[in-house]
Amino acid sequence: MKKLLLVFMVVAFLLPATLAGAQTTVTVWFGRQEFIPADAFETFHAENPDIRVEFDVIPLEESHVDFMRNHAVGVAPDVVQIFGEFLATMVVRGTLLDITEYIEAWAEEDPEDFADIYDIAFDMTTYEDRIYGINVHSGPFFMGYRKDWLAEAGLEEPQTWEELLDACRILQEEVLTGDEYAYAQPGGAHHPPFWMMATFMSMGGQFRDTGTPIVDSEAGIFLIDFYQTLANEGLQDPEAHAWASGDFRGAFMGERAAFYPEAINIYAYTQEVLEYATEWEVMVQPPREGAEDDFRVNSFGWPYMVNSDTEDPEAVMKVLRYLFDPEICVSVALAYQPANRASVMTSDAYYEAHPYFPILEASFAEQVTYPTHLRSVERADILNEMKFVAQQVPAQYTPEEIAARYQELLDALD
Amino acid sequence: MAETTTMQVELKKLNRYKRLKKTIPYWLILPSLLFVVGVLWYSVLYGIGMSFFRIDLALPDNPFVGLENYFNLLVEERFIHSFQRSLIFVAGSVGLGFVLSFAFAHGLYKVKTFAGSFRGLALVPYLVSGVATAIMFRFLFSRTVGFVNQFLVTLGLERIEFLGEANWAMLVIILANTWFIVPFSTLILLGGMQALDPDLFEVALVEGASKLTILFRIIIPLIKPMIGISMIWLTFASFNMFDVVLPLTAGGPGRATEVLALYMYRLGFDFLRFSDGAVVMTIILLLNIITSVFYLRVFKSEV
Repeated sequence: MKKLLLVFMVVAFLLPATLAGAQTTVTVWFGRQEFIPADAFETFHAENPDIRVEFDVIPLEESHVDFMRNHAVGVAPDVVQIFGEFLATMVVRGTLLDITEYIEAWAEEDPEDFADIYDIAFDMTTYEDRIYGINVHSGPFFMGYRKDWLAEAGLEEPQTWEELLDACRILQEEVLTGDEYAYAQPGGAHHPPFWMMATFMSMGGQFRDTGTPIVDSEAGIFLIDFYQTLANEGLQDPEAHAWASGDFRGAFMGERAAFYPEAINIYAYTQEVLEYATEWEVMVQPPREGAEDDFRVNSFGWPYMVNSDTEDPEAVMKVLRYLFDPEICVSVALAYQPANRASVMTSDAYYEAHPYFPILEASFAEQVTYPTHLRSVERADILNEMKFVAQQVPAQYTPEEIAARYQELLDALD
Repeated sequence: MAETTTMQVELKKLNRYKRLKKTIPYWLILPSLLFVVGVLWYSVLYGIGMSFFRIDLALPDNPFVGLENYFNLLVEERFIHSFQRSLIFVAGSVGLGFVLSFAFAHGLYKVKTFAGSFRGLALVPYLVSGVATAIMFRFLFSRTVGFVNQFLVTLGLERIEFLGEANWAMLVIILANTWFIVPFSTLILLGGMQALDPDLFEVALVEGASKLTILFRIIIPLIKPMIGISMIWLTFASFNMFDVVLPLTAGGPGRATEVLALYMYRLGFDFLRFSDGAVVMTIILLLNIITSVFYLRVFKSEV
């Protein structure tokens, strides 16, 4: 009896440790609380009792730096969510795992599932032809506009940037009064130039292989000229160059702006304060006249990247595939950011939550990534300064002069 | 003889006890001293050490480069601009901050009814986070919906682009910073005033001294060390100020309000040029040390 009791005690003591040893832990850093699946991995744990997912929220603004710092001392998570633009820096520092073979195996193993995924899911995580993560959610910038104000001025939805600028002039002169302005956009200092680069890409702007935008091109000079015109012809708030994102969103939702370039998640809030399809409408940012072939819908995303030191890549892949499962990512898509899966984006639930999406659907499927750059924040800093100079009133330089000056600074980063 | 020896032993014991008693305060402050040295000085020294290496996350290695980072940064146009903006910001904040904190301290010193409540209220701005302060000032000075501009419009005046024009934006960050740092400086000065002997004022009044004479000939000379400490606080809090400026203007418009602390953050945590960020940190540290020594000498007690 004593022996039996002893054996029981030893088993009772060792069993939890043995079970724990058999269980793999995968740690995930989400960039925002809203990206965490609605079930908080409950289903995953039920389906994969040998894998335990532990997660935390590290803001996207800090996650890449924190991750690289933790990686240097061997305590980084297995998966980190980042702004896609930091990919190059993280690869060069040797902090990310090349998961190309796992993605190829996935494509081979389940071609039907794989076909449901938009290209941007892997385009954004590819650096020098190797894949380092999965971009489950991304948010291209489209354009919201006041349908009722355009109708009042007898205007149709503009088809090119030239038409949009003309519409702004007519609205400003004939419809808008007081603090109402034709165009709203964020200024430079507070944010990365996502909005500017979205417009640049729709105008046909191109990038060097290093990720440096070619601003001394026709598209770049057109962009600078566009900003100069908005500021110098009084088509935007005189203080717009100092605005943060909240200011320009507030201007549109507060009925003080006719056009605003924004992403789908913000349209969700817009429809709560303005009546969709009656007062406001959405459109894809238009091309520049004569540059229709170069038009591209930009994409900015928050991909999940895999740690180069991860001990169990198979377990990590299971977690990533779970996050990308249509039944899981749909909750994030409905409540927050769109998912890069056709079955989710074309579902009745999504159409109901975002009634404007059918207009954007085709463009959403064709997103092109805003390229990564080894010095992405310095690139952003130079572009923001360029935009600030372009919005000076009265204009101090010609668009060509501004483009030449800032192209030089951008090229110096390479 | 034996009695003498016993006495000597007792005397030795007493001396040892006295010596031990003298060391007790040092033992008591040792944990906090270790904490300060371990946490604060370690990071400061490590930061200074970093400034001699090239630590740039866009580059693979971290070689020792000596003073190269300093030479490169000190001639950088953006650093010089940032340094100049910092000097304007600190001078404005210290000047305005000192006048206000002295006035508030003197007012609070004179207040007798609900004195405790008023002193508590005076601390409120210091208890509000820097980010909240910044957002509040952003709302106050916004061109379209800001309270200040609404007031100007009510008076029939033109709106001012407080956040969109370089000099006005500098004024706004000085005001926000002053609002944030003045309460602590007020407390320091108030502490100095409360330590003064009230009999001094009575004697001065009997002798026929005016209120201004009392202020300039009695109060100010007697609280000089406190004025020095208050100036040190106002200066170093302004040189280090970051959490109000970033959400308020983010260094804009353009780079008009990009003070050194903000530039340091940009270099270190945005551009990932940690060593260049460390150089700016070292320079801010030196500026703080130099100004502190200056204030301590100028405001040395003469009493």
